[in-house]
Amino acid sequence: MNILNVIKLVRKNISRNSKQLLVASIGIVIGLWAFSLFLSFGLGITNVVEGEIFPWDKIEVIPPATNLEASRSRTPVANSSACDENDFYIDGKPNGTVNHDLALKFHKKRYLDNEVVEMIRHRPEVRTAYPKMKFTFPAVAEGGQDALHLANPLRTEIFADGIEPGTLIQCNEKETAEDMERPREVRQCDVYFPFQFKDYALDSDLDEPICSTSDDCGPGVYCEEDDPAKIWVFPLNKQDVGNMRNRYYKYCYHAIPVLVSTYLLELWNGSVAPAHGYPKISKSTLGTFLGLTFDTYLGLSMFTSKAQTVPSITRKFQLVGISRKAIPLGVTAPLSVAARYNDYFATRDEAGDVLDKERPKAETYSSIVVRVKSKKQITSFLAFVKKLGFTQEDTNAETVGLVILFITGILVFISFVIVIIAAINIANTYFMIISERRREIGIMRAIGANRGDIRSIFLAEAALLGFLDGGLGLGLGWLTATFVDWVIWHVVPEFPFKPETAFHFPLWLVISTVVFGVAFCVFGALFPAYKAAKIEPSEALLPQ
Amino acid sequence: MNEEIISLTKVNKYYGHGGGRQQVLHDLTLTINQGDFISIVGTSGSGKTTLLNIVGGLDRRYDGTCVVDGKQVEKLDDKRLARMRNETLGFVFQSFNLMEHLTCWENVALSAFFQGSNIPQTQIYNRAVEVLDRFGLHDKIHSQPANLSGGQKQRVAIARALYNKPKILLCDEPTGNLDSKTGDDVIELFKSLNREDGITLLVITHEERVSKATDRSILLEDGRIVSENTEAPPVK
Repeated sequence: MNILNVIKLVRKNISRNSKQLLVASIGIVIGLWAFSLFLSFGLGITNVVEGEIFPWDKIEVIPPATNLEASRSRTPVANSSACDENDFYIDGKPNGTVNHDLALKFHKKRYLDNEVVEMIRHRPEVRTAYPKMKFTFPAVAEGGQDALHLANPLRTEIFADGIEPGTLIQCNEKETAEDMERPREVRQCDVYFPFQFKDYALDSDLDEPICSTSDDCGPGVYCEEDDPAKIWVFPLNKQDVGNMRNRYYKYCYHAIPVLVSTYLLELWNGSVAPAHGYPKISKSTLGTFLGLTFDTYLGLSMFTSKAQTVPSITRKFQLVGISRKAIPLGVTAPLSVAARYNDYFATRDEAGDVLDKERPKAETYSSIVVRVKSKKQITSFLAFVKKLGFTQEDTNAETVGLVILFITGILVFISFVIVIIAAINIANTYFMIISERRREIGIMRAIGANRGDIRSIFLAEAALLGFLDGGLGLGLGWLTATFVDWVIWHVVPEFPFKPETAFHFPLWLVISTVVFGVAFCVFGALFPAYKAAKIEPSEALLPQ
Repeated sequence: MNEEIISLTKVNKYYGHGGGRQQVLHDLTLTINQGDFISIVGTSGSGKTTLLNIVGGLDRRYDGTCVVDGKQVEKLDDKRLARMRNETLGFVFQSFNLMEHLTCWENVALSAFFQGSNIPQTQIYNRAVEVLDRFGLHDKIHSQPANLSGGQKQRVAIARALYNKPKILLCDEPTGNLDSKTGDDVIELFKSLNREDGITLLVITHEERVSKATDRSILLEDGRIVSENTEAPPVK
């Protein structure tokens, strides 16, 4: 039977039984509406969680013990059988060259250094990897009264770390208003124009004149007390560190550029700002906050009075960008800044040398942030990390992901139950329709339709109905999602990680909703269609 | 001598099961040649329609042999039987049996829908129009059956039966629902189809005027052929 002819007959049949089929379809439409809505909601929330809160492809490799002292252990982390040679191929290629030196070193240490970073970067699963170094001393930040319009400066203990400036995207052109309106996930800048994320202390030719006020220094440069840690860049003599501070002069220093995370921004907007009546930082007001400087007392703490062995340092930190790569709760400075101050605050022996157990603070990384190429490769990469004796930071992402999956699963299951019940209703309707069309079936058989033709007509009719139901269910689901999104944006108060959309309709969801519609309607019509095909033409033609 | 086109040999047909089993046809043997115009007459329940259903391949649950156009009906599978009904046979029913939701031309062309080959839609339409034209229904091509008179409906039904140029036309009480004038027109139509187109006609009727119009009339009683006459048999 020609497909065009089937469609022609089916179209006429559907329009003839439109009322009956419309009633029978309600269940299917509701089920598919629920299916598309629930699943898109699950996907949307997963996107927010995996994209904004716990990026799925982000793995933070950390030493096995949180205590750096323990990580200094000289015992081999693994015997030679734990790591196979394949792990040490350069560029991760099976036929590549084995870097034996590298391989040997990994059997001897348990801390993260440049060699481990290189090793990880060469893994085939890895897209990017960059190290992070936490500040291993306390710090207190103070400021923000102008930007936040406060009577007194905001004072808070801060956590900080450092990352390599090269891992960030520093925009060298001013973002247009249009750029600023683009969703965060597609905006590329970590550091905003005209700021730079760099360690100014590394500019060896930088002239740092003596000053009395910041007015003597020029824009972006501040007149501050001598920073004794700066000489670590050009180590002359590490003895008597405390006395090296020049107590008589002030110098012009560039502010130390820092980044905050999108997470912190969300937390500020969602919790801190509403609770304390501070202004929110939106896309449009972001510019006001960029460039914000605040005094940071390195080596001081609001929580503990434990004195550092060296004097504290006061430096200006300047907010230069908002990045996902920044520490979630705190500020992120250039890596060399973290290394320098970690070294400065490390405990030293009488000769002025950093104690052995303190050395990793300045020489090794607290973690290596790895972005894997695909979800499938996470397992093999984590196996490699485990082999090396390292572990990954537990972000609870897996638990959250499982909870979302579980809830989505239940909702999708409920929608399936609705659709299955609706399919039974479809079956019932088709039994009625077939009973009504019994004589027609006889006529069609008499003029040349075989059993397959009769079956095809009813199944094609159900398929077309399912297609329409699927499209309608999907359309209603999309409309509902749009409405819910509107409510979230316009009615629901701000909350952390408020998504641009709580729903995600990928192409496969669109297709599968329609396919399920077709499948369930065909499933419902299957038995009636077979029954119709089995009717003997002579019986079908009997007067009813 | 004309070629044999329908041949029934010792056909027995039963309805029901067990104790309620009833024999409708008894060792029925009948031969019809190509070009014959035959009427089968008999009272209600004499087995006329059953006989027509067996010849038309609409009922295969019988004993005996039925050969139509050289094909043994009971041995054909569903697809071949459907093809035979589509290409060799045409059916005309008392109650017209038109699809009310299709237009006249669509009803006429319906058998083309079930042909295996992909026939262009224009060709299907043109053939339907051609057949409807022949029966004076040119202005009814796009009409729904509900808007036609009884005679027009039967002419559409005959047009549908003739769409595929069948060798055999099987008619079950074709004038039963028509007034005498329209009935006469249909009889004349059958005569011309038989004479001009050489179509073999097997007409079931209990109307004398119909049986008189045929070349040969067979009287069926209790599933048995009781008389066969080239003259019009008495109708009970």
